[in-house]
Amino acid sequence: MYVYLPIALTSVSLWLVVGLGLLVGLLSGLFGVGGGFLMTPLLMMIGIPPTVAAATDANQIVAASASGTLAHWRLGNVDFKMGLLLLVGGFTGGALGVHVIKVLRATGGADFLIKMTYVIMLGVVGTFMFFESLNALKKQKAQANLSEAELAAAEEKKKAKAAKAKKGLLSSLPFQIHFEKSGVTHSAILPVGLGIFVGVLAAIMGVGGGFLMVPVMIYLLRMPMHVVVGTSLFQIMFTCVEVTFLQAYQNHTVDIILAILLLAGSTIGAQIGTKLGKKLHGDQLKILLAIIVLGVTVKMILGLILEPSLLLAHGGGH
Amino acid sequence: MTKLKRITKYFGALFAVLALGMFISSQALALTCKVTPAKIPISLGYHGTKVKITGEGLQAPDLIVQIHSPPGEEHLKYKGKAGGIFWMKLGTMTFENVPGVYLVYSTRDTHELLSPEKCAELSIGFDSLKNKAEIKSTLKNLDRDKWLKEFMKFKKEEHLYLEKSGVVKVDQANQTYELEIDWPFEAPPGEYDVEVFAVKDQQVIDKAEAKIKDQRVGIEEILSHMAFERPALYGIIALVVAIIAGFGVGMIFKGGGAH
Repeated sequence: MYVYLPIALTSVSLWLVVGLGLLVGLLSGLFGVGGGFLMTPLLMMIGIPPTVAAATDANQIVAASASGTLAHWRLGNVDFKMGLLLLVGGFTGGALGVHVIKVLRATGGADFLIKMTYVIMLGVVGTFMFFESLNALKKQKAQANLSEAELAAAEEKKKAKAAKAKKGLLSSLPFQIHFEKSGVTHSAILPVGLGIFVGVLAAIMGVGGGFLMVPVMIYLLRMPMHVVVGTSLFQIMFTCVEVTFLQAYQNHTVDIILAILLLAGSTIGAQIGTKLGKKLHGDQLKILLAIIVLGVTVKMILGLILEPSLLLAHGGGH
Repeated sequence: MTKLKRITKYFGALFAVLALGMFISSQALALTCKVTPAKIPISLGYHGTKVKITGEGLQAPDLIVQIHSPPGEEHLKYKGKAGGIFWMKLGTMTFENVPGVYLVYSTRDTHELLSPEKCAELSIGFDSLKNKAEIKSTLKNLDRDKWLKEFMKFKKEEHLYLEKSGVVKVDQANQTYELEIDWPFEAPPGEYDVEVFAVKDQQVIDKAEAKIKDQRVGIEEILSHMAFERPALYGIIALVVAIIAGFGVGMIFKGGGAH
């Protein structure tokens, strides 16, 4: 069964596209990433023009993240306070990043910067998450063999370390806020600043930035994994609303039929992913996401090193 | 004087009758071309279609059928090695005077049927297309042949350029021909020229023309019109659909009690 896409100007298999949506929605619900870094290349592989693939992907992420946000909100996993602060930073950073790209496009070398940022960021984030989660899983195994007294000592040590870290530079920043849902206290400047950083990178790379925001929340904001996923989805939903509208209004590249097919799969996938995520341990989730991110990195590196079969391509895309 | 006038009149009438006879006979022998369907509706379930090209009055053993869109520009990106290591898009390349869609079908290989000069003169085949094409690019020391070859490869990969021989059925006894093709769904909406050349002894002895039009209908037409003419409304609809779908599925899952 085929469906003709009025903006992409091509015909696609209905089940293939719904299946892609389901797969990426599943990842979205599991890890709190929009899945743009996976979906856009997949859509290009089935013949969707790069500009339409990127814009329509943002449209379907709105649905998947709305579905995921609702599911996580019911489970009490959305830190709205933190999400809004990150969003303020993300919007500001996005606007800055778009400007950077504009300047680079005028001077040349934008494509090189985009590709390199992609490979380096994906590689660094993936490798770090992989080893960190692996260590955490090893520690858990080791702890299972410890006596109660040893466990208590280890816990004390951990608390002391956290208190020491808290007394550092970050705790001296103004506008300290306690985020009840995440159980952390930070200056409002921190999430806004990190939001700006991720927003700039996301705009340069042309993605929602979920795979960058998730590690930022885990490692820099010290939020618990399950709250990270819900809050990330909440923030991604708003970012993609902005991107979808701008792409439809300025570039006419949103294919509503393609978006409907994708979201038919992704909204269901996001729900399944959320329920599956509840059954997995936080570190298991992290290591799975790290493997996916590293897989995409390896694919990108191969694409950069191996000679392509076609030396011409349409403009746009990653 | 009157006699001369009468003779002139008789000859005039005779000439007119002969001319009419020749006209009628030439009409009966002229090559025709009929495309079925001439209008291809692009609806929601469209995935390309079968198109039949038939005709009568064939006085030659061979045929070449050419289908193409009007010549225009194709803006693409070329790939190369950045810093001698990484393959990536390095700049723009514009191909001018090339059709977006170019399909050539024949009874035999076009090189066997017509000389390169004849092909160039009548704009038949890929070699003549290459001769007419122009390239503009940011690439220095551009190798025209290499990039035209790449262009053809790129368009063939997209199913928009095709050359196929031995597919046109010719019935010389009845002076008819028939060609059935798979119209590519990748061909964008528009009007296409169909040219049929009757070839005998390396010469084109007759030609017929027709048109194919593929156009969006129904929901396809409404959506594409809205996307370009009312983009703000289109963007809002796209968002509303996504949000309702997202929350809707969320509600259904809750209702199902799948915890």
